[in-house]
Amino acid sequence: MEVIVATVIATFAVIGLAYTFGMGRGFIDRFEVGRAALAEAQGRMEMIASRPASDTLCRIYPVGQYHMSYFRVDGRTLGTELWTVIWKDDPADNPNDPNQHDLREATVTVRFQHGEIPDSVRLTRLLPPI
Amino acid sequence: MTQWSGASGERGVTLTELTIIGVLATIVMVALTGFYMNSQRMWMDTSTKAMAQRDATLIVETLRQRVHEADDYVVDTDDAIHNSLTLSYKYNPTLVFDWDSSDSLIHIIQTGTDLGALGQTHVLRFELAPDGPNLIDLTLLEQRTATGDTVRIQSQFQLLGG
Repeated sequence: MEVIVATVIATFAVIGLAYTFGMGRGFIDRFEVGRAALAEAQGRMEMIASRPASDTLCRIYPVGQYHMSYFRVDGRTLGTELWTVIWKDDPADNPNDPNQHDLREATVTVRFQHGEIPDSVRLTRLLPPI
Repeated sequence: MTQWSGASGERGVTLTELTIIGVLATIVMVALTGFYMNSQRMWMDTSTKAMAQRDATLIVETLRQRVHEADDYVVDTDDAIHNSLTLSYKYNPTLVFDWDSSDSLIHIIQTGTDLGALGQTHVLRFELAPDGPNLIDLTLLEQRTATGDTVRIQSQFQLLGG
């Protein structure tokens, strides 16, 4: 009887250990896509910052509408990339300022999925109005 | 070890029992050894991959910082998969990010002096593309870990020093 109990416990221990190794590997792979997504979001943000407000890639859309592209690394599609630019009122100049277009606020979201778990990275940055 | 007293008072184990025990022990040992070897391999793969990811981020963030400070750049694409980036600054010496074939790493070179390599993971591809006067595309940075896995990353950098 003791042998059977010991065997069952040992089996569970070994399976549990194997599961933790597999989980660790999965997390590292997921983290890899997360790092690539962050680099992509930073790159997109720099692209937006380098172009004038009139550029089609960073045109100001109504709330709820986004620019969209695929999140690709070396030709492989890993997710989607959404970005939006909106006007931002700077309260420092005058709270009752009729001109609400003091700054632009760019938000880039990269969505990806690793396994069955959806994940995303979001960056927001204030830009000059021009 | 099992011991018993039979009708004749004999003690010990039979050869059959000993054989069965040996076979079972061998099976268990083979399984445990296989599990250990697999676990060790997975551990090594995962660790080297995590290090490669860290190195990739280090390269991207170093490039980003240096490009931000620069006011002009030149991308050399003579070698199609190992490009070179030269950054010019208003008040500082020129910096070159170049792939070195002797160690397969990206080195920073300042006015002819090698300041050292970025990271320790071999770089397979370092591809850049100019995107206008103040934007550089890192179209692909691909690294290979010691265990053969690859890590890929890409980004864009804006020149802000002009």
